[in-house]
Amino acid sequence: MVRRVVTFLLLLISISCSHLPTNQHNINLSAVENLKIDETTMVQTEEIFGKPDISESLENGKVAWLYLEGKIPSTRLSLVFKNQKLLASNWFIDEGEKESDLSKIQDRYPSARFVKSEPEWTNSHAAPNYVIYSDAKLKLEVILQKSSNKVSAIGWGSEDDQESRKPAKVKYEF
Amino acid sequence: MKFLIFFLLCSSFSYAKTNTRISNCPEGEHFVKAHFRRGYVTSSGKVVAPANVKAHCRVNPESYSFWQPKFTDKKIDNWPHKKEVFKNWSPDEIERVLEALSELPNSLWSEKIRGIYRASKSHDFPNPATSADGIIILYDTAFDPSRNLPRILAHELAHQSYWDLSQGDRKSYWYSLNWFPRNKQETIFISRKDGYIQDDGRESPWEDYANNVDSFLFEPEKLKRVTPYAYNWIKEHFGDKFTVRKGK
Repeated sequence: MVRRVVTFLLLLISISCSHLPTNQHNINLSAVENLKIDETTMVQTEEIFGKPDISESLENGKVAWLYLEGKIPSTRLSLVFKNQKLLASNWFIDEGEKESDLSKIQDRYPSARFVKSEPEWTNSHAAPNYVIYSDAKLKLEVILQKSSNKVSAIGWGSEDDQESRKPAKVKYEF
Repeated sequence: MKFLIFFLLCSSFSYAKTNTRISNCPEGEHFVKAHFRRGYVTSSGKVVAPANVKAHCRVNPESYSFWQPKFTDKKIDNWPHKKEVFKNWSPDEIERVLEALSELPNSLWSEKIRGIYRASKSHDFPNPATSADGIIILYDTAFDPSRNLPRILAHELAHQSYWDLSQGDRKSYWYSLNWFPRNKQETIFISRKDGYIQDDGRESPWEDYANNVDSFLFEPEKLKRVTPYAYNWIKEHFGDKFTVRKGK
């Protein structure tokens, strides 16, 4: 009898574990929007979202924190800090989410006046496959993938060494 | 003099007649203009000697109907590499590219590729090819006898294949090969420290993907040894038929 109960309990635990929500950090876009560039500290961020899944030291004393989510874990939120303060935040969007639709992004940020630009090539023999919609005043950038015509990420602020942020000097269309 | 004019007219008429007759190829064949074919070595190591090729009808390779309409002599407006000079395709180059594409598995034949362009020299010499949003450009170096043209094309088609992946498949590739995007543009990643089949794979998951796909086709044992996770992912994603087709 005891053995049966133990087996049942183990089964119950395994079932409930397999249905655990993948978001163990309590992260959501609204909370990310509330972070303030050059103000929010690492300590405050950890209080809100918990410890990151990946932490990596970058050049010039910067630190990147990555929060992973999903059935196939991938970056959901990436934050870059310098001197303990937030430099940039990047929110990655799944294809099925409403924010993957560019018009929904415009609805979400009605005051934004987006300017479209092509990125520079970071790999000289393969062109980037996205376009950038940015609003300098809001420090907001939206990345639209050309192949799927879906928004893949939005973000605020910038990393100093982020060469790929610069808009292209030359626009090309085929 | 009259005789000379008569001779020239007759010979040009007879040449035109021959060409007309020969260009009227039966179904399943296409017309190849007379040309000088440069020597090269196929991916299977067969040496093809240089030769003066007469105009003839050639049986269409498997790739013909899909790829032939995509060859273009045009230049790309506002191409960012200003010093790259676009040029016309020669008949032997088109035949070689069609032959090479026929060796590659159909799962790399993306409908999204709209044009195959020809340019002289890459901005990044001796780079043999460049890919961008639905186009492929081949440079002179792609046709060097020492180069493996099918492999070059496999690499470029793999770039397109990467962009054609669903977001789920792309994430699955990232996770299997340890790529975690750090910036919103997905141009900076936190990634594995080693296990790259070619060093430039460190740059990005799409370069890594293209290297792994061309290696899977042309050096599978090496890929299995150096990057086993890539080998397994590609095998699972593309299936058992994802191999080079010899003798096409």
